[in-house]
Amino acid sequence: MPTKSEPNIRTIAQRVALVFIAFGIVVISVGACLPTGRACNPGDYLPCTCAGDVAGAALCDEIGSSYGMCDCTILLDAGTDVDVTENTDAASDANDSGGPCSGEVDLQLTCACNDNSNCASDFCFTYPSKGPHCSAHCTTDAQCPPPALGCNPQGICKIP
Amino acid sequence: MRLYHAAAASMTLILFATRAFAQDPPTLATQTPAPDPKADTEVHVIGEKADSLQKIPGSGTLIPHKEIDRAQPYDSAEMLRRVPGVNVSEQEGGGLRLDMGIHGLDPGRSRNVLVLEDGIPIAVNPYSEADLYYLPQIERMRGIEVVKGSGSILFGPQTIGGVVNFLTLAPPSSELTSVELDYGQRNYAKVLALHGDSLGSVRYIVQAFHTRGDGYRDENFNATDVLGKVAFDTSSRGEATLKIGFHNDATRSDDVGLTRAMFQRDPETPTLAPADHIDQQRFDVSLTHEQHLSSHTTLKTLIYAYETKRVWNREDFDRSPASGITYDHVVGDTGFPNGGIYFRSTDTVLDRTYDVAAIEPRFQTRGETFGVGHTWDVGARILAESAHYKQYSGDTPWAQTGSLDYEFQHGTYGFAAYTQDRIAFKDWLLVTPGVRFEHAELSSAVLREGTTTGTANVNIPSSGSAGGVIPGIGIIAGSRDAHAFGGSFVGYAPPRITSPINPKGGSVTELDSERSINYEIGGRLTLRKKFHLEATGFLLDFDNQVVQNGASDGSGNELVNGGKTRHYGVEGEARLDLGSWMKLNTDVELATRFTFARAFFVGGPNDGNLLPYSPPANLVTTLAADRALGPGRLGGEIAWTFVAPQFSDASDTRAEDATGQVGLIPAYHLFDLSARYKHTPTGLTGKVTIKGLTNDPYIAARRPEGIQAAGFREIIFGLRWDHASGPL
Repeated sequence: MPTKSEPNIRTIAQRVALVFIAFGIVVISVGACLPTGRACNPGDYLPCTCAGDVAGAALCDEIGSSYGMCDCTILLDAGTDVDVTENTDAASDANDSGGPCSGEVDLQLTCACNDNSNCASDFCFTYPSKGPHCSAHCTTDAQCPPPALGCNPQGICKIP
Repeated sequence: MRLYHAAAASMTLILFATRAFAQDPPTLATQTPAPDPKADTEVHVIGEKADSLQKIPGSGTLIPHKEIDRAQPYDSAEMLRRVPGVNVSEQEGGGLRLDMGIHGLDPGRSRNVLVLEDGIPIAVNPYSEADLYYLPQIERMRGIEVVKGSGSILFGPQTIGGVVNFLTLAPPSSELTSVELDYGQRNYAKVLALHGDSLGSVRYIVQAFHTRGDGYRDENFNATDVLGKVAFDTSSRGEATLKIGFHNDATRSDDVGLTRAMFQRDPETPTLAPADHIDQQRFDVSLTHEQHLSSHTTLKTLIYAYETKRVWNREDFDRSPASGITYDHVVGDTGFPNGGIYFRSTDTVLDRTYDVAAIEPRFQTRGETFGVGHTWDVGARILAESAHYKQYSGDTPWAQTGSLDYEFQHGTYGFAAYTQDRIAFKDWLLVTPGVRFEHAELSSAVLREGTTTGTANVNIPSSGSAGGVIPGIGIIAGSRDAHAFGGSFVGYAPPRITSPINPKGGSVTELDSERSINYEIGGRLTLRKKFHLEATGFLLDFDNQVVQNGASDGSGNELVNGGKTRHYGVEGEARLDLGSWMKLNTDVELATRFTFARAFFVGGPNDGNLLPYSPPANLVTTLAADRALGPGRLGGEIAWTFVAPQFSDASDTRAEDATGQVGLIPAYHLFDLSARYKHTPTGLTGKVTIKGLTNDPYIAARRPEGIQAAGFREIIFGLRWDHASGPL
């Protein structure tokens, strides 16, 4: 039989478990305290729904403070999910819809390109992994207007 | 900043003005494997003797073979996660890559941690590209040592985050043979064979294994690893170990991860770029010679060379469609801005070869002056390294070669010298000052690059030098079982020379060397057969830290000079020997390791923001049990890992963007379970391991180009046979 000076196994186990659980809660709580950073990535879109359950997208503003109003005219073909294994020329379809990235000349900043002649800026820059996109040399963010995301440390416009 | 330094230094002095009290004999039994006097030729950063931890100047952890055996880890990352202060991120490819950071440093390719195998660096180029593309396989290991304090200065070239030293299997004194077969979900399979013995004064061990699997997201992998070591006497006072290693792995490894919508719909969505593939080979040879010049003096000499070859082809892709291009395949929601990914029918091939060779004599002597004991280490290293990059444009998504767009090579001669004196003023007071000198001569040349009219052969040489003086001091006060420690040292990492920001365009990013001043203060308390407690406070102040600028900068997650940063926090460990405490006939150990780290930018556009990939807290708790059952032993362990939320870019962006590259990485929990039974008469061990018990996928990273998921359940069964003519 356990005595007062010798707590039984259950008591020890309970105390140990309580200490560990309490400590775990402290770690999880402290870890959850994060500073308030930028709300969103400038140029990013968030899915949203307009009146009448029409799917749309909201644009994050230039300083990343918040997403704007839901825009229900922006989606090219809302909800078009393409399977990983499916070969498609959806790209051509997307380009046919018109807009700043359609055609083969005078493409605007951030449009995909093949060479300099495609771009209005006459500068098709090969971003690592993202591949070639119309860009511009810059020294200030103002030289890279949206949808570009400003000037990066290497003097090239950032792209989404 | 001066205030931080002064406060930290004051705390250190105050703490060590008091003497710790406990007098009991050594009881770090749970952390210390049985010492094998003939297994000690390799260079240690801690050592395997019972009082080794007490003698290192600063915080450190030793993971013995017993703990590795008990956990049955899938990879080295699983064990390193259990070291206080260490943050390990899951990687694809069957545990073949490792992302590890210490004290809030970015874990990306473990570039901020000096990783050694038997005291020998393993980074592809230790000076100019300290990335860990090759990870020592856990099957090779008999232990892992981690040093984070001023003890780091005996090793280099970088001393910022700490030192991890993998200790490989030692040649046995008597016959030892093992065979293991594992099979698990997703066609995971491993076959391993090991044999060691002694022939007269020559001891040897050979181990080979092959592992393969389908991977979590159809990212199949296979790896073959061979290790051979021969230890032999060179004289009555000398011994040498020759080690030869070979590693080959081939993995389906993509650069582009999942988008936000894809992860939300199915985290186990198969790889988006199934043609992306890495082939990697590594060859290494080393000779470690130890000569006992007298009973107090030892000269240890390391001579080593290794080569790493890697070919990585990655299918080209766009986030928005380009005109005039017929894409190979398109994935995602093409109607939503940045929701689709358009894969071209071409690829980019990165073909790289790295070579390293070095010689390093290390001299240690013990003596006494005016009643004060000294253990003096002095050493030097000459290291030569080179790298040759070729980048091709392939005609198909899976091409391994093509038209040469870019060619670059660089070489470094690194010279290092160091000295450290462990001064024993009293039995209970050790003061260890040391200093390291590093100097590197760097040269590089661009041999082919893009021009406005295409690519052309060029010769654009460049050269420079870098170096630094790295002083440090550590103080330890107390006994083996109860001691406090503290210290300060300079963290240094040479400037990186790595892939330019835009290889096709040839604009090279200049990165500076990294410098920090590091402080730490802490203590350990051990009560034999009851508990072990350890806690360390740390502060790192960087003049410049190289950080990943994040995909939001549009330059593809390249490294940039991040400027001033500061890291502070507390880390620790508590181990309770519950079996002994509760007088059970079963060994039961409950252990927890925690880290609180705050790492943030100081000044500049991101002032006050947390560094990317630096979670403010993590916790690993394990409950392990082992007992005799019939003619054998039954054991098991459950491990719970918690990692707090972290940011993925320098702007601390909270909302997840459509591409999945930017945004908060939520907190996650991970549970692993293992059980084994060893039938002693036959030497057979049956085991089962369940990784990711709750099958709760989480975002491990948002780089290089999207969400990399982890946390999937994997059940693995294993059978092992061990035969030993002597004690195991």
